Amino acid sequence: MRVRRVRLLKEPEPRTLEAVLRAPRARRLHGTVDRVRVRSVWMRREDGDMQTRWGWNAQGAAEAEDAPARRAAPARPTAPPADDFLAGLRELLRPNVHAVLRREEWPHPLYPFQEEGVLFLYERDAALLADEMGLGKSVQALAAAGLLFSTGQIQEALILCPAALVSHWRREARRWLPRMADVVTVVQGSGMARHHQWHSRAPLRIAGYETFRSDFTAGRMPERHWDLVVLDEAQRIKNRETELAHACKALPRRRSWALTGTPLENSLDDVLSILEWVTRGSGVGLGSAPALRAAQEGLQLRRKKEAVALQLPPKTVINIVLDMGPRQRDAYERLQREGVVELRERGERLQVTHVLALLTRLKQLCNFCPATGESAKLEFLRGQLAEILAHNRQALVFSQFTDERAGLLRLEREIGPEFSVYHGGMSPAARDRAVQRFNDGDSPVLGLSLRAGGVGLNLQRAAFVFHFDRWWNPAVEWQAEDRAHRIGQPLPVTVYRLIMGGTVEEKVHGILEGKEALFREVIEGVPTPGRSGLSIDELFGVLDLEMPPRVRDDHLVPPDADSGFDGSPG
Amino acid sequence: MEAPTRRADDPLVAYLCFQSVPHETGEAEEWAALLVVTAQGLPHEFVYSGPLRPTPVQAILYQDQLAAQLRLSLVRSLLRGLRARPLFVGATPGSMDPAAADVFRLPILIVEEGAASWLASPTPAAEAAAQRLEGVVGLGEPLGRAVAALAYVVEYERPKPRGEEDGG
Repeated sequence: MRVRRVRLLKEPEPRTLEAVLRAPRARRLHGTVDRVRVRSVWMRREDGDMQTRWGWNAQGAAEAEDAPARRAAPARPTAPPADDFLAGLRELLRPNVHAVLRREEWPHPLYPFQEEGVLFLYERDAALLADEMGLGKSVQALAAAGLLFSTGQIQEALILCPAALVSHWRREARRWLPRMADVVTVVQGSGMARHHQWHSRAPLRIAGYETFRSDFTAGRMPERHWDLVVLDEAQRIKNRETELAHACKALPRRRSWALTGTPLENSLDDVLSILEWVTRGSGVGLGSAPALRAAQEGLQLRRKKEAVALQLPPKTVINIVLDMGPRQRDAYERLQREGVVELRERGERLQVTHVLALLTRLKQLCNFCPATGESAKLEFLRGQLAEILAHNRQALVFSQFTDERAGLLRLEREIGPEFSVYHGGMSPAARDRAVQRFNDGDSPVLGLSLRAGGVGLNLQRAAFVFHFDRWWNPAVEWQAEDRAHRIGQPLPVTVYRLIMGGTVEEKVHGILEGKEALFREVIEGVPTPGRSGLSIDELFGVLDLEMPPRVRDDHLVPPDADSGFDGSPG
Repeated sequence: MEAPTRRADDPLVAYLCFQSVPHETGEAEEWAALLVVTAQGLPHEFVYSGPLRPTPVQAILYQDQLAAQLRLSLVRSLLRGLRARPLFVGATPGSMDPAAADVFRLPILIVEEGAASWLASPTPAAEAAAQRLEGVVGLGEPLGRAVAALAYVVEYERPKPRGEEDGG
């Protein structure tokens, strides 16, 4: 009786596996019950050698190393070859990914198409996930990475993304990989800090493209072979000649996943560069378009909203926490610092309106830096709108501001002719024309003030809604979203709320998120906007101010949404 | 880049399975395997043994206890080949009779569709490992892998009829 042992101490690179069983195939013995032959096989990564040891292990008999089998029949030819046999065995012994997928405690259940996407990524070293916007590419990538970590197949992963989305990825990584929440490392800050962040032991790192490019070319990154690299908004490397594209392609890695919602059918050059990265330069020739398309088909998973509409809820809300650029951040912090000092100096004379005025200015600065025009929100919105328009979709953009400094008119100027506006300062005829152009498809993006555009309009052509800035009262936002999300809407609506991280917007957002669950407890199916805004205490708390007793006495009941918290005409 | 390795303090659990394969002589061959996994469900060691066919003398001696004796022998040989020391052994009902359970001297977890139960009170360490495994892949999943792997090696090891052998 033989015993064979396969020790799976490690999961080595398949390419470094040596052939194991060169010896003749095990011989069948018609042995007694108590006679055993043991053959042991170990697979170790560090020395790369396969150790094969044969021996008899009969009762009371010691093992004899390298002893040939006794009274054995002539060996029969082996089929399949030993290394294939071990590879097949290893696959069978690996945890069943479907079982792991079902048992993971995701913060939200994955939709069936997302589970399909997770498995698609999990099974591939080279993958291009090209789902349409709003279908959760980042969720699928994080879930798949989580499975790889759980099953011990990867130890270190790197996510590269646009700078403005670094915080967003960190939040999502902490949500979807809770067991790793404490060890998700964002590479940012000073050169010395980044050097330490690159060289420290961390299973998951997140870095902006520019940070990565700079550190890669400056040699700050360690000599490291990454188990997994994910490129978000992978169209960033579509130009093969850029330093970023070269740096990304030079990263030593085993698995390469590219995420992009931008359709790649139209430009072969764009496809080529991304596929070169995904395949690490192998298997993608510079030859014909059909060969390139075939390669793309084999590596890509792409779903559009129509295909998965039945799986999605009618409306999905996604909070995007963005990072300010350095100059916008400096301007914001200066304004907040000086503004709070001024408010504190008012002492007992401090009124709610003073606090609101400062908060409004800070929110406007979150939209656009007045000095430099810098806007992380605009940069994000531009990227999303480019994808939306490329898919021939339409979108609504809501803002509480209509002015040219930080509101809709500024967006109209920055984005261009695809963007029309609708606000209370327009004549009724002009407003009607704007809606008509949108509904006719002539103007794919409609920017609306939250107040004027939030009620009474039918804008079901929009499958995407953006809140460029958040209002104090989520119920008002819901009403605005319902311009798109209503009967007659053929597609699930995706709503993006843009929030600047590390600002009053994020604080207010946190308060509103906590209340939103309560807000949705409606009375007889009707939301109650008047009771769902920030309290005066909370308003003062956003700026860490103490509310004077006189203010508390004057405002025993929180004002409702129509009392004009920010004074803007809308 | 180092591959993931088992940490010294990672608990191990084992799963036992058997397979009977009809033989042209009419007597079934017995195979057995033990899959050792970490409490995260990662494979650590896989040991298999077989084929074992009784001699005519043994068939007469053991009679209706023959299958149990064959399995007991296989279990003993598996244990001799095992390097790891698991905290418990999982098996399907009917595959673990009291004699085999005694050989292991470990808590035995009987795994059925949708349920698992201990043959006797488990140690606290065994129970903790079982809970961890349940949370990651489920208590029955590694047994499914062991069964599939054993079937795979049996198919690989069995001599093919003439004309079906590779290369010849």
